[in-house]
Amino acid sequence: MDLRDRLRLLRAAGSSRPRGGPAPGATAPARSQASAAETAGPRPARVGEALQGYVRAVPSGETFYVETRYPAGHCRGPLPLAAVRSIPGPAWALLGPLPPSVEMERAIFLDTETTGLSGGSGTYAFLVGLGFFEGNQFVVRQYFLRDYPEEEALLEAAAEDLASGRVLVTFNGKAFDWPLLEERYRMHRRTPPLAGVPHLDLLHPSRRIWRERLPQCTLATLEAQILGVLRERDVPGELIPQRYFDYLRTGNAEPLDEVLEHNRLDILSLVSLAAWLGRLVTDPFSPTADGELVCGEDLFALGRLFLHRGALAEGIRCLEEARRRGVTVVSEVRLQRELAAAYKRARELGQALAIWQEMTAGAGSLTLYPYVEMAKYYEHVAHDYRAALRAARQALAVAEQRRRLAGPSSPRARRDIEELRHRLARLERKLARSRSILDGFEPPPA
Amino acid sequence: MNLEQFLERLRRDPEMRAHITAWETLPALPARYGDFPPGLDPRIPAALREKGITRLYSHQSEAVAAALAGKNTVVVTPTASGKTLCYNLPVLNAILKNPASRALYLFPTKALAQDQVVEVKSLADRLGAEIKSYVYDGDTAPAIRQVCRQAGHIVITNPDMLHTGILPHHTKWVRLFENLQYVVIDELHQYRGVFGSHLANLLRRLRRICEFYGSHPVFLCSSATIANPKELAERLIGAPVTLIDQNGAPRGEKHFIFYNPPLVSRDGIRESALKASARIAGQLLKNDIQTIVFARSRNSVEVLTTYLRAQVGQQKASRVMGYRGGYRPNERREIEKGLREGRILGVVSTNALELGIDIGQLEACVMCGYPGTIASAWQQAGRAGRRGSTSVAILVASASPLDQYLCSHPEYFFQRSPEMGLINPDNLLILVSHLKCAAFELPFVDGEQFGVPTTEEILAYLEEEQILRHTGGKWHWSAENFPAESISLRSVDAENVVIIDQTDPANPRVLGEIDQLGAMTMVHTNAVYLHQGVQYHVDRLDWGEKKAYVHQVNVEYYTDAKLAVTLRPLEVLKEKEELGVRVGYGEVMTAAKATIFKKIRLYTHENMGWGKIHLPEYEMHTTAYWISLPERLTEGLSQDKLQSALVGLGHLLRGLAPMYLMCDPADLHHVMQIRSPFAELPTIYLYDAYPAGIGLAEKCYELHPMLLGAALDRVQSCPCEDGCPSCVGPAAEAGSSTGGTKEAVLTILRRALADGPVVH
Repeated sequence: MDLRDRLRLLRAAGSSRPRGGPAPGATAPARSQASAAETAGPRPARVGEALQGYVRAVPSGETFYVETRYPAGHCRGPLPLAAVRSIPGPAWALLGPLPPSVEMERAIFLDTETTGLSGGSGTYAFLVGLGFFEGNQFVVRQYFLRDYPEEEALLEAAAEDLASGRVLVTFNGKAFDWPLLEERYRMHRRTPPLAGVPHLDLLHPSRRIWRERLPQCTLATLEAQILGVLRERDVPGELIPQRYFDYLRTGNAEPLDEVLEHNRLDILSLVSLAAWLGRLVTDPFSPTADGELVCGEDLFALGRLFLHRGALAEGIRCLEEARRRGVTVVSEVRLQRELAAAYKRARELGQALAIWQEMTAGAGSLTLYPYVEMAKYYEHVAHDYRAALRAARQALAVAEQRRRLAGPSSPRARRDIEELRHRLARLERKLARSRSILDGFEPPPA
Repeated sequence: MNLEQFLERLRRDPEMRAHITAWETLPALPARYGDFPPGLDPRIPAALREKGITRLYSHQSEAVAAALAGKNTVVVTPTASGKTLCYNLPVLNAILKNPASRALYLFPTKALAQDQVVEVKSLADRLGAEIKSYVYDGDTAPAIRQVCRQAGHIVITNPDMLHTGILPHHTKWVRLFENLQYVVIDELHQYRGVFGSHLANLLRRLRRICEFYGSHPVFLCSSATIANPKELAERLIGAPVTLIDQNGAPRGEKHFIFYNPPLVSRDGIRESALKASARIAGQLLKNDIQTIVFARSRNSVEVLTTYLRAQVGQQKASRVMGYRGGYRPNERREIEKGLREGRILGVVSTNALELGIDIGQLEACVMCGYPGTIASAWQQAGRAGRRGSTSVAILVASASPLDQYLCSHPEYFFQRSPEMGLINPDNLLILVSHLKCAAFELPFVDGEQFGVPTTEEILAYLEEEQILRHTGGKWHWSAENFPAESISLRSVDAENVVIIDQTDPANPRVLGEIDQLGAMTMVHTNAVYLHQGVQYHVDRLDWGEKKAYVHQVNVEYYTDAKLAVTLRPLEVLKEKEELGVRVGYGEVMTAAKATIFKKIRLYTHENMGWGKIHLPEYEMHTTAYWISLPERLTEGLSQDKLQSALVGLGHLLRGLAPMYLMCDPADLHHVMQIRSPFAELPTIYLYDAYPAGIGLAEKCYELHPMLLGAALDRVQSCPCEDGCPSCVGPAAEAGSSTGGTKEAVLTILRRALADGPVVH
């Protein structure tokens, strides 16, 4: 039995899974003949019949890319691509860890297609798509790995383009695309580009805003639900690596055409999504060109985002507007509570009090929070111990009701009740003391 | 009664005395010292002095000097002899001299890593320098991982994590790999057989990555006593190694006793080792002597724990614990801590506690059955032994031929050097697995070798399989999956069966895991599975999902399942005529099938009934050693006699072989054929219990004369009438209707060995 037979036998009995046999008549994909020194600029080239692009020479070799230009006014969603350029820097600082001086004009939008999702040094980025504005156009340049030996040249060329970027914009790029690319640079003992350049990963603000309203926050869902665009004939992500492996084996690049298109659309959606997010934070209330209004849920989430970043006035405005427009996915109580807390933070206690009162107006409310807040307000701000005592007693009644419903063993109900009893005792002491002080000053009967 | 008094009573008790076949006393030894080697940063001796260490033992001094000189070393020492300083000092010294330098520590288990980080940290803190050490394993929090990769001077991990978590992501560890000065491999003797073969390949991968980043680390290994520490270390790391085996640490007096349980019937049946061990350990525990009991199988751990708890009485029962693989990590940590603090008085363990896990030093060790190797027996015995005070290790012999051979030849144990650590890094299945991982980590370059000269041929095969792509003089990983994920270092199959306890159907919980072959006999449907002395009934084994569903029960029996194995020879690799028999070595395909299980009553061990097991066959391609008996040897034996003689001889050879192989008896299986397809003769096969084999069968082929000689000796010296578990197996098992199995085996062996000398 020779080595090969033994290897086969192992496969039959052991763990490795057989996959279809080698394709008949497999040939290597087309490779460029010209040497790097020959040409100074990129020259037109194609991969198979399908991909038309250019070959570019860099010191470490040659690489192939496909370039597609769109007018800056091109729309993929409610806003034109160019809208992203007119949003001021401070707005971006609300959406991610970016300095207010960020130059979105010189952003690079990045999306990669890879040979696997698991990461690790055996996973390659075979398509590195970069999008940027050039004058009146938006350029999508897609570096394509014709075969593994060209990887270093691809990375070097991409690094040159990336070097002009002042901010990197991705979707889930912080966890996936960028670490994977950094890994590729290190595999070639090169320093990854963009050190110190800010990175805006749209996944994070998108999650903050749409997490509650949408079943998931993938780019595809956001495209359909937020941007309102649909893809026809889109290649499912999980099939992409196999299409690339098939191309490497057969040299047939045609099925990759759809992969490149998929990547281009992802990049355009990135721009549109960024523009939409930018608009949300700069001008959340006016209707879109189609006359649509931002819904209450989104304003609620946006308000929380503002509050989280310390922008109290904007946060309160969004929450108030959300109340006006109405919410369904998010409960009214949550909205009231959030708003009252914001007013409290802003020291607009009258507004806060009004909301707490409103919350307690409905009969049989089981929400403890407004009573407790009111008790605190009357005690510490208004120094009206009688009113405080009233609120605290109501709170205790709610807490006891809650315990009856939750069962006597609920530790939270027990804690609530204990705290309220403390509060009541303290208030009674204070009331007694204030009475005795007042007693001393009571004017003599006329 | 303290230990000294206990030993005194043992000596005087005629009942016990009659069954003690050996009593060796190893005298106390004084310490021998050496200097702090020149070249050691003066802060190190100063810090050690603060800890009360004013000089080094001779082996520590020697080891540190060799490491400072840039030599790969292996230090061989018993437990508690200060082996950690042998590697910690050179590592800390290197970091003091150059804060950029890095070290990687490998321990076979997570538990050992946790022990070590505490020790390194306490020494590093005393040095007053900023030296950071981290445990990096599956339990490490994400935030710590980041810091560890960037700034960890000493990264402490296990082979599994290196395999799946570090090497495939080496670009995240640039700092470590660019500056890696030392690699520490502790518990080297653990890396035998399958695990060792995996580690050797993992280290091949590690060296490739280091080369890529331009570092050339020195390997510092430490090992318990085995026959070939230097050879094993050299095979594992693939480079020359300096051996340091003159231990300078002091030792208290130690007694080593062999106890052969009394005969209970005339067919040579003895009291079971389980019961005898329970009796002896029970006495020790009742006298508050902290004791560890080693059992041979997971099942016996549980049975023994149950027996001992019953013996020591209610008050102490909670201070007796079981410990074995399959328990959850926090359960184990709790037991280790209890032992160190003395809260736990007795522990019953499989060889899981043979490892250097810190449980302090106990006073007594009882081994229920010979652990299979001399090295392992010394390791287990080493668990008892406090510096400067007396300790005892008692080996309770089981009925197996090997245990009985030792009882009649104790000198074999006390005079012979321990066994060899065997590995086969070039086991095809293991090699190919790691070759894939290596290609994933860095493309192979044309002409590059990975351990074997046939590297290129294997790479080409992997390209045909569409896993690699050969282009531009390199072999690139060209598949979607992450190969390390599906390769387990601990066995050859990746997927274990998970045991799920649904005693409370609303809250099912994971009880533990078990390998597939073990699952067939331990958690088949209707088995009684024991965990921490608690019985669980297996409601259903879902073989497709690899899940066993159990619920807690309280029954008075346990189950014991039988595996039926058939074997198909594939190819003869070596063949010879020796000592009158035809001997062969080659590749075979085996198919194991669990057929029936017996219900056995607790304590009395009587058979209470049986049931069928419905599981698919488990096929395995492996290597075997076989002997075929020519007609001359079997002449005059009836078909029936011949059949039973084969069963008897198989039992005997399989029982004795592990002694020569330093393998666990479970690593080797056997079958017989009345007429083999190759030689067309009655044949007995011994084969490796792992896919593709780990080198045991080949070693048997080389040791054949010794094995046959020991077999004859065993049968001749056995006092039984017609076969017992200690020689050719009980008469009933051999299946002969007329008896005479022992005689038939003797006839065959005598005829065979009449031709040549008996070799021991």
